[in-house]
Amino acid sequence: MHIIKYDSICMGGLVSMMYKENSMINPLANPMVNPMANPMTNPYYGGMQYKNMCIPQETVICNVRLARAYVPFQRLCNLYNPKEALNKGTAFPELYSPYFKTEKAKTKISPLMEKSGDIYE
Amino acid sequence: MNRHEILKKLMELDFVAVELQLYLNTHPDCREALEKFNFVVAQAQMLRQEYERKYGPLTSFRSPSVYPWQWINNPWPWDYSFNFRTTES
Repeated sequence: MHIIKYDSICMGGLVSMMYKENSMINPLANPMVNPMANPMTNPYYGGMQYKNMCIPQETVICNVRLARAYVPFQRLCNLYNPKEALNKGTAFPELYSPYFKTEKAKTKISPLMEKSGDIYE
Repeated sequence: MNRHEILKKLMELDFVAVELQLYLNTHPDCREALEKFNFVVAQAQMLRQEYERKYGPLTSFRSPSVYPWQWINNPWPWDYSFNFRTTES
């Protein structure tokens, strides 16, 4: 039985914890232990009472291991109407990322960023 | 609605259906997305039937046809005159 130690970021803080590698139970994923893991009590995970402050992705990520890539999970908030969706190329406002024609960059940015389409300003 | 108006509306609805379908692949338990998807698919289906009743088949092997066989009539879906501009200039 191995005991491994890792850091996990949860609720905005850095939590150091010990856990047994062969344990099926992750305490941070247990709603009885961690209210943020319960969709009904975590305002950023779709708690119904927070419907008005809809954020189209998870904002609290638990058990993130260092040096691993992670994509936040999308959540359904609003959609463009069909006409706008077809014109913009996506039905999801949070994914709308148009390419803008810009002047040749005065400050040299990396060629990779130049191709990404996002404006970092 | 005239032919281009129905066609455009249909393309819009089909596009949203594709978008919601992609979302549902990763969120199969999202009831709200599923309801929106089913609604959009039903709307598109109604509009497709209306279009095909008035203007002929949109596909060669998924659309019913009156007699005689309609698919070979001009314009075909890839002809310039069949289509419209998707963006207003």
